[in-house]
Amino acid sequence: MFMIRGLFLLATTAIKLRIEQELVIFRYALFCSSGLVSKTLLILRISGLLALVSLATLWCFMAHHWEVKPPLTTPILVVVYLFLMLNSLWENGWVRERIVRWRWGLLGLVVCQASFLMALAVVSNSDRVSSTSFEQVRYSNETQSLPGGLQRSQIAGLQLRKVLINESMTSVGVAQSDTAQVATNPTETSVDLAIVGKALNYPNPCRLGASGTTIGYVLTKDAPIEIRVYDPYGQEIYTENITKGLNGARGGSGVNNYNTVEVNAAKLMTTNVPAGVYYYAILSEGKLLGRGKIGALP
Amino acid sequence: MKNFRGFLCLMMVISLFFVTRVLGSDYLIITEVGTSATTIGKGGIQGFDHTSNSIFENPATLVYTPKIGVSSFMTNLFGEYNIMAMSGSMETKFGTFGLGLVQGGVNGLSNTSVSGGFIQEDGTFSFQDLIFKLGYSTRLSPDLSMGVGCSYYQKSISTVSGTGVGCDYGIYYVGPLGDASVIVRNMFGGAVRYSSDVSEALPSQLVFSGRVPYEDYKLYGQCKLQTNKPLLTSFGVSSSVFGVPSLSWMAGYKQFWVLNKAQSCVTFGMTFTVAPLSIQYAFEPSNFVEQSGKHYLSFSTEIDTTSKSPLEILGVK
Repeated sequence: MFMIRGLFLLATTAIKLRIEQELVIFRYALFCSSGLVSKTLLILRISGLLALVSLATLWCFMAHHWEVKPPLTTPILVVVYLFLMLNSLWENGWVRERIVRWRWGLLGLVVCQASFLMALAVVSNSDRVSSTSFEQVRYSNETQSLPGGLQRSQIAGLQLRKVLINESMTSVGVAQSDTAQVATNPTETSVDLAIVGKALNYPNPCRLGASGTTIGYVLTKDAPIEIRVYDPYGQEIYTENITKGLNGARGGSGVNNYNTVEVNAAKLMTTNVPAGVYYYAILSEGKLLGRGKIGALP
Repeated sequence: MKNFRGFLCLMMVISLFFVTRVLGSDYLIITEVGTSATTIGKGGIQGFDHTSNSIFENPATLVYTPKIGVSSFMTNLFGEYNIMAMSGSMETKFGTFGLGLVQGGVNGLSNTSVSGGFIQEDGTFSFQDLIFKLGYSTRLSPDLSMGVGCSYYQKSISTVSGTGVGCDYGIYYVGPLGDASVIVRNMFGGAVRYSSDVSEALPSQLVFSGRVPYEDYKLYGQCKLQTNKPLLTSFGVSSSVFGVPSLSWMAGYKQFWVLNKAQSCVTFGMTFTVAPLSIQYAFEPSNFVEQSGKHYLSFSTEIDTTSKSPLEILGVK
């Protein structure tokens, strides 16, 4: 991963350097008011363009294939660069003539490149989906083979309630942590703190400015918990700190240890809660354990 | 034409009384996020964006847009909320007309039920928010322009959806010391009525803003008033980067409403212009968990159809 990030950084830096060079050339061209000054420079610029397109392709490939979060500045700079490049190239009669002559070929090249990138994106996504499905199947197989009374079960990604209360439910939520463990003894310190499955709220959608909603989740162990609720634009509208061991901050399996926290008009201290999507985050000592979305009805 | 203008002026005066009467404003308008990175970058100061995006702010400034103007704006908040705005304006001999569309949405909200004491996910639903705007602007005198806008609001959450219509007007004055903008949003109030027989009142807002040039800088100030909410003030500054006229920066202090309280933040933005294209970026800090800030990006282009061919319009000769 380190190497991929290094390559990625290299590609990004190269693109930036190339664009900075182009900006200098562009300013010079503006200064001379004559566009390109020589064929040598023209060849250099065309090779630069090809290099940039290759780097951009590599950049996209890395971003899609390895799920590296790319900085947004790079595509913006590429767009700016291409705009400047095409604008100034067009000023050269020789280039203009060839662009007009080879317009269909160039268009085909662009379409091919776009198709390639789209195909790459689709393939990358399908890879991710298929691997997720595989993991889910594996986990549910593990679930079926587990005994009913779990003491300290490895339940990576399994549907928790199916095991705990032996009911056939289809979607309790996919685990956020593949190595999450539930301890019967909640005070056990060797267990990593995590939310098992997904934090969900009921009802959803709800009237947040009236009866509100109840957030429910399972913790692997007791821990102090902080619940934060955000408005549709990400501004914090409510915070609740829950002491370790109380409802909302207790760990362990079983319905008795299922944590529920209500968010309603009384807690928000207003009934004027506009319709929209609100967000909640569950944290412990600053570490994000899980988050979810509340659909607020008018 | 003079009578028509007189009528519009009269309508403005009358509507001021409506603004003071409207109560219980609670519909959350998606444009409160901002519809242009330049506006956000200078502290949310509205009314001085002379692109077609002004239809979302002060319709009176549509007269300052070129023959044909096209703008777009986009942001993604916390990887969840996608917001996109597009607008266009066209100058005619009757005045300048504009239209705009803002669309936002969140997918993958869990539809839940309770079984055996646990909350379980039964499926997902989505949230969609849309505003469609039509605007018209004309000059009342060389230094005074006015504009009116009509907004169609639509919001849907799961199976519940609602629609409503609102009207805005604006005045823009170019004075010897600076410019002034007055915007009255949803001047007749109105409501968004949902399929669940519930209504949300459209908020009537009054926005006063001014711009004063000072040496190489432009200083901005704004007061925003909405019924049942505290008064908001914002300040901003913008200037071009020394030695690079195509690049300008902006910064601002912004107040905004969070439910019924006022909060504030600072903002920052950059604009890069290579005629006819302009690219704007704005940054705003966020207290959302694990997010340091919000990023906004907008593009705008202006087209003068009178003397240029389409290739020239695109910047090629």
